[in-house]
Amino acid sequence: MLFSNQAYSQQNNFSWKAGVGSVEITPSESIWMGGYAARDHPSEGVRHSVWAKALAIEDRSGKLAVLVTADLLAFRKTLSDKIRTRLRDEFGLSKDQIILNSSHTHTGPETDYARFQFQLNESESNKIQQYADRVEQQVVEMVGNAIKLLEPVTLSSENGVTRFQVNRRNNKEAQINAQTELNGPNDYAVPVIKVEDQKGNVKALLFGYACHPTVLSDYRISGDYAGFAQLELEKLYPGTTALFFQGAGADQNPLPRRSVPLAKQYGKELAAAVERVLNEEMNVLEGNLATAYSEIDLTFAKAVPTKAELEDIISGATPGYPDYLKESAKVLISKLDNGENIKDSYPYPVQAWKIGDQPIFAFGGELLVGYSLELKKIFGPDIFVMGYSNDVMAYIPTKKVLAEGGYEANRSPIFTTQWAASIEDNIISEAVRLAESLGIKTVEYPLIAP
Amino acid sequence: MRNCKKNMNCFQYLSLWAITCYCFFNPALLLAQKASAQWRASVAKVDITPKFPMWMAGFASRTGPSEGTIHPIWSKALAIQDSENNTAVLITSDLSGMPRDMSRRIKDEIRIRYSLSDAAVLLNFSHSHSGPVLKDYLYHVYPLSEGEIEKVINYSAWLEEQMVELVGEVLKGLAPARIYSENGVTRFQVNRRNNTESAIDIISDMVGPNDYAVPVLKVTDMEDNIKAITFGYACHATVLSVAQWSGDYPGFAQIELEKMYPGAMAMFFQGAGADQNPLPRRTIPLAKKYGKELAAAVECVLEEEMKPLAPQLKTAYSEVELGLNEPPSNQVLEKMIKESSGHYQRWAKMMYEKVKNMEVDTSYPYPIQIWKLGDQFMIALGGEPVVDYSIKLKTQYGKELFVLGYSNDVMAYIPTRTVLNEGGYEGATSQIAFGHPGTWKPTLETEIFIRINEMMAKF
Repeated sequence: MLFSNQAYSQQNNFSWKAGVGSVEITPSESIWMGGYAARDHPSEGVRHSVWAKALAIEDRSGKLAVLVTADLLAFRKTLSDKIRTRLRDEFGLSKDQIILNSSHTHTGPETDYARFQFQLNESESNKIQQYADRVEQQVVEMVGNAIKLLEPVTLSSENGVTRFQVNRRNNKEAQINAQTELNGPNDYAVPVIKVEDQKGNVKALLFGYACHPTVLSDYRISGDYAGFAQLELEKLYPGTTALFFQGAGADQNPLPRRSVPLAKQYGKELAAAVERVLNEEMNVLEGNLATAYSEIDLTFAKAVPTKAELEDIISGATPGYPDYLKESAKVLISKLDNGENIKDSYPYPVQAWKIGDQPIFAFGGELLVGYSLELKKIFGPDIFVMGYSNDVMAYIPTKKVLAEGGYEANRSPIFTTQWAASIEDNIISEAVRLAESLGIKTVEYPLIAP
Repeated sequence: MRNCKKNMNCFQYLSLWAITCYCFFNPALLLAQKASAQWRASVAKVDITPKFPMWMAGFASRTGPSEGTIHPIWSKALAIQDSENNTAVLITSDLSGMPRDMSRRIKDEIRIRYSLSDAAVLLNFSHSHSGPVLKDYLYHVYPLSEGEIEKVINYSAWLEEQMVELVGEVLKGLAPARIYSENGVTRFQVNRRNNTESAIDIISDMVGPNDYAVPVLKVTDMEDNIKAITFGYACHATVLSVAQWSGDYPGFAQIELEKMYPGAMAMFFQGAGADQNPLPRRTIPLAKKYGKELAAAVECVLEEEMKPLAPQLKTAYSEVELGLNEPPSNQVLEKMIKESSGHYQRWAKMMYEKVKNMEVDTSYPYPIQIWKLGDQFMIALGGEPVVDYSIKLKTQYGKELFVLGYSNDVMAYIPTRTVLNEGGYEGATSQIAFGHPGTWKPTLETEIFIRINEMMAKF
């Protein structure tokens, strides 16, 4: 007891300020849901409320950053840009100071009006647009509130572990109950940041995991396992706001899946992993914040499609494209018809934060687990890696996955082509460049094994 | 010296049971049959936490007796009785294991007092490494003083009586019940032979084999209130190596489930977890985390539909004589006595004496027990079986099978021939910790399976 008192008073200088916000974003009416192309009608009720949450942190020198998490499939570019533009205009926050991370729940509302404009009737697609506008407004207001509520805090970080994710590329879901060995690669880490107020109360818990929230595929709105994990933590730590962020979980599924009790089980397992981190000693973070953001132009393996090629896809003259990709072809054609080009590259967001000595990397798109593992080889196992941040435009395969092919490899934002094979090198080198600019250290591997 | 019983009748304890077919053709009888065609069940438990500091079982590295308690440890009993009054009692304990002689005394006393055969009584041990050392059990692993041995003897005598009385108590409470079974899943275990513990934080691809199953039996009363949650997992209870009593992760899992389901007794059985460790490990928060993960897996099973088991119980017990290789030569033993230390040295001295007095065991009676509740099979093996036993049994008898290790007598690791061939602790050096003269004959896997197959053929 004496020891812990001493430890507490040593860190009692509160070199950080933090403000927390949360806002319920549960749709008020039945709405199209994001995640599964196979769904043929809008939502039917709510399993539990879905939320957007904000953690604003300010270091000793007054440098501010805001992380927003949400029980949504994605913050795609249109919505993300609108929100970030308003955060710049209203609160002076630049892109490097904002991370918008979506949990990637597959039982959340859709927010991408453009994608569904030809597929849905006007009433349904209008609902999506209205809902996206509502989320934009709510997120901006919530961030404003979080900034207003800044108060002295202690920040600590640490990685925990749990293993309910399964590499879905290298294991067969249908045989999951019979498998006695699961193939990787995996990232079992459960990154956690604890925010404590001056009284030592846990004010916010930021935690992540690299795994698709795809336990559920039904028509009831929920945050999937990530929603259950947040509920469990907010029950375990009354008064706290639990914020989940998605990691490099593009090729990771929670298996077995497809039942509510399983979603709850994984939520509880994840919460137990976070609770364990809190019950052990955590790394107390010094009050220095550094942020960096850039967008790099990622190119494609093939030339972008012509209108004639897209029309052949829609008509079926070019076989092999399911209906939902034909919808994508229609969207591209409408762009061309409006006199816009289909760009032959995509502006891909890469971001790095250094909170005290805790590095955080945040990437756009559905990031494959290989990225997290490669970055940990460069910067050590303690870094946090987020995918699904600031924009979700496509899967982001490693060069190995690109070569192997398959679902996560075969498309880019332009559905007719893969990403160019240089994608991994370009993304990792940009992350390294941002890390260097923030003073994030690389691992010094020993010359002689200890 | 142990008295090895050769050529024992392997089915002498097989309790016989048969369906009376004619009732299906007699409507009146069928109705009468239906009314009484139900399980009866009962639960009871006893706190077996030592009341004073004692030497703890499981790790040769501990340097002194216990210092306090994290949470109490328990023996828990579930009695079940089918519609023909066939009765069986499962006793699970937060203990590392139990030697044959002690288990024998307990089962003999249960037979005498309550007329339950060996087949009808199943003792399973969670393999918590935070429980007490028991009488005549691996003394040479721990530097026990005479005073400490006396405490072990006194505690063990008390424990034996507690476990016998527990059976008496649980049999008194038999009441109409429903029983269900199903397997869940969780993955906090790690195959410790094929993954490096010190590199666990950077391993991105774990190597198996593994058995991720979480077998669950649910026992409810006729109003569907849960009375017992019997669940298992194949993983060493070795998160903790501190000097405080606890049930390790299974202890925390049982506490969590009893909190989630007030009025229910949660009891944990250890599976074929000999080569599986909960990793990372060594902190109380981790033990609690794994307990909660396991409890969440059980909760998931309880919330989903479970398979109702018909009130038909059949039990069988058998022992198969497994061959042991000879001890090292006297020269090797003498060298070990001179040059080694700790339990290796104590084992060498013990073995040297046994060789001199021609008391070396050449085989060991290995216990196998099978229960069938409705159509749910439970195969309970003695010793510390490596996970491949479970995997192979499920390959043969279906993935719904429940496999228990650490049952009735925990006399040694039980490697497969593959593990023997690979060598290492579970195949070879653990025999020293268990006081055996040499490795198992590599025929053990075949002999165990042949016996199981014979027993299963009678069901």
